[in-house]
Amino acid sequence: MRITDKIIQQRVIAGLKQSAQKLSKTHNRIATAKNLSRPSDDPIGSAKLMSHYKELYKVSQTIRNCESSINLLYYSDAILEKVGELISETRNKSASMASDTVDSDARKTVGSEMDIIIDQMMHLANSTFSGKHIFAGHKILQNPYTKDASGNISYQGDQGEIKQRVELGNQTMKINTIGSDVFGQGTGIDGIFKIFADLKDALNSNNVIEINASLSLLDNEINKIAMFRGELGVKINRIQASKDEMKILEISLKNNISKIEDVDMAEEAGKFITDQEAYQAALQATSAILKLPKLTDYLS
Amino acid sequence: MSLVGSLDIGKRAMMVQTQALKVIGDNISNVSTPGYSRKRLELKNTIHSQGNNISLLEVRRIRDQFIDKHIRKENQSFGSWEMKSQLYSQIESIFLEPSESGLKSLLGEFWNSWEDLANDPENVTSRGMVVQRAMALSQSLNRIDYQLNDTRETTDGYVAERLEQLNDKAKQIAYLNSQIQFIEASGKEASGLRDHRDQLIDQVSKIIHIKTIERDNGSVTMYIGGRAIVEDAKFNPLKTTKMSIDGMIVNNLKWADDDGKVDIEGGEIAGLIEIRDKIIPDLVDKINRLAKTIINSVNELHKTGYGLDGTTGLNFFDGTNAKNIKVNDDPINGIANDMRRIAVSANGEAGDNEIAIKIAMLSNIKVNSSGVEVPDNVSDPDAININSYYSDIINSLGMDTQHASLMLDSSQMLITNYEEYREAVSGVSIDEETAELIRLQRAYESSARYMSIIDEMMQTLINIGR
Repeated sequence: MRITDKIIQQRVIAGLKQSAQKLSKTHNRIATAKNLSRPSDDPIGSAKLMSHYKELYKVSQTIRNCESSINLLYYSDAILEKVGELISETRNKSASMASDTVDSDARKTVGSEMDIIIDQMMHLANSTFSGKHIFAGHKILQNPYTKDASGNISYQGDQGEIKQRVELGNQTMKINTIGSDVFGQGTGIDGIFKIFADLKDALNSNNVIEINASLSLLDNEINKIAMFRGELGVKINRIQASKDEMKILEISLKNNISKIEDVDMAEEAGKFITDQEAYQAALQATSAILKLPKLTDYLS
Repeated sequence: MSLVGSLDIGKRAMMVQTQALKVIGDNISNVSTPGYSRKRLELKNTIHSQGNNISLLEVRRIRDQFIDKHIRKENQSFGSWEMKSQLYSQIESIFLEPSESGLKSLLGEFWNSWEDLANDPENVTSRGMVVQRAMALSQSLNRIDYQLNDTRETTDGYVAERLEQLNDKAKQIAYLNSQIQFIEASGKEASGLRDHRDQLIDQVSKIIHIKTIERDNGSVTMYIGGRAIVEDAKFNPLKTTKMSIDGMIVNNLKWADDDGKVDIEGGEIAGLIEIRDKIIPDLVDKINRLAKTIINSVNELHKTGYGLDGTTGLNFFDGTNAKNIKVNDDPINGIANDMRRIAVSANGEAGDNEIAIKIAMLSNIKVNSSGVEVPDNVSDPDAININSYYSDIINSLGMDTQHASLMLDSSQMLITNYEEYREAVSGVSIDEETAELIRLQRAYESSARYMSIIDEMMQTLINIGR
């Protein structure tokens, strides 16, 4: 092939351009610390990245949902624990009142204490967690149990279940405890407030048979509370397990994203030096070639 | 043969050598002129009745027509890929992926804000977040739609500009045709004009797909899609007419004389038109479909729910496409101006979060364009999964952009190779010219010496009589 001055010049410039481009690309990767600054840099990696990110958003939100649900469940459990204790206390106190050794005055004293106990129970049933009444079903903004002028307590909440997604996928879990399931509909109807009211009447009227009847009802209530707490425990465990799983998934997703997206600095720094040397070598070669003498230089 | 005749031979030899020197001078002075083809003076011995004579044949341009054809053929695909690659890369950057400002992130945050709201349905801050995320999402869709259409308009501007260049160059080629015919008919050489014409044809071949044929009279006929745009000195211009394609008034190419359709098979104009009339409208369609599905599916659920203030039946989003999507900001019933109107509850009670959860789950399910869920086992070509639909848009855009850039690179490499080969044939080498120069100098000296010897011999002859 005939080599003309222009061919040499063009090749030299093309070579320089190539080295400079390579150098600039490496530099850009180091400066941004990203392998991928646009999808076309690596369409396959970018596609993976899109789906990883999509999943990461879901996973992080699931973790947040789990945390929020667990907090509510723990709080509900703590309240139910107090409810159980209050019932047990009342039961023990009443049990001693059922024996033949106590007289009607002692029973009346305990009977008057029952008002305080009932108020305590109502206070527990009206517990709030970050501004929400936890036993009110969907009516979270108002007290689920209210007392009318004659001292009758009734349930004002509804049967609304609050659900949350605590696992990937579209399954939801009920995370609230409905007040009427735990405490009943109220005085004169059913549940703990009816038992307490009846017990109070029995104590005040010195009716040992009724006291004994209430005792077995209280035992039932204690079992019921234990059952509800058991359910909560199972849910807490399940959500905790899901959260742990999500955390692991989150870490591995972040790892995968980093592998695709982030620059291996040590490697890139090495590349940068190599590219730089290549560029310098190209510059040197260029200057040498452009300085090559012509035939005219040797003719006098 | 007489001595006087010999003197004549010497004189002719010196004249031819001067001519050849002039050609070398031309070559050297044009060493860096773009498009210049080196010239040679072809010398030939011709036998005259009186004996051997040197006579001048012609100044010849050293040029390989075959390589020209290759370059012009590759030029049109180079032009097309160059335009596509540039515009694809512009379009790609409109989507801002992968980054926090891309729709991928905004969509993810939008769905998540609904679940955060589901965790705290009565919380005003959570409600505010949903509105903020929704606004960010809709503004981003508005921006993408605007920028895509803006790029389309710019592309259309390029089409008109390229057409102007094409007409201008074709006109020059027609003029050069007439000049070359005229000069060559009078027996002179027009290689400078030919170089110029070849260069113009190279440039035109990048703008649009052409075929050229050189006629015996020295003129070049240039065809676009079977019709001659240049024939001899006649130039048949193209023009643009306004035409509406996919909702935009664009420049359409026509033959100026009879409004005939122009067949465009390659070149920059073909690449530009593909981007303008196919690729961008296609993307705008997809983004509109995405926006429409988001609007309809969120509204469909939102309308069935109740706000904290008991309102129901309200749309969350207003609009029908990416251009006009916005959070409902009706002065009386707007969501944006009263966040309590966000419908989280399915039954009107504050603690119910069913609607919020269902809206968040839209990210996982297939919905049709009216926003109704389509079960996985039902096949409905109209139904999309919002999140993966968007990923698919970005993935195929990334692949197309990379493809265009790879095609451009390989086309560029081919052209570089061809051009190098052309340079090897037609380019000027200073060393070569210098050697030729020395040879001619020596030949000239010898001719002069020859003449002085003949002169001496004639002197001798004249002196015989004294």
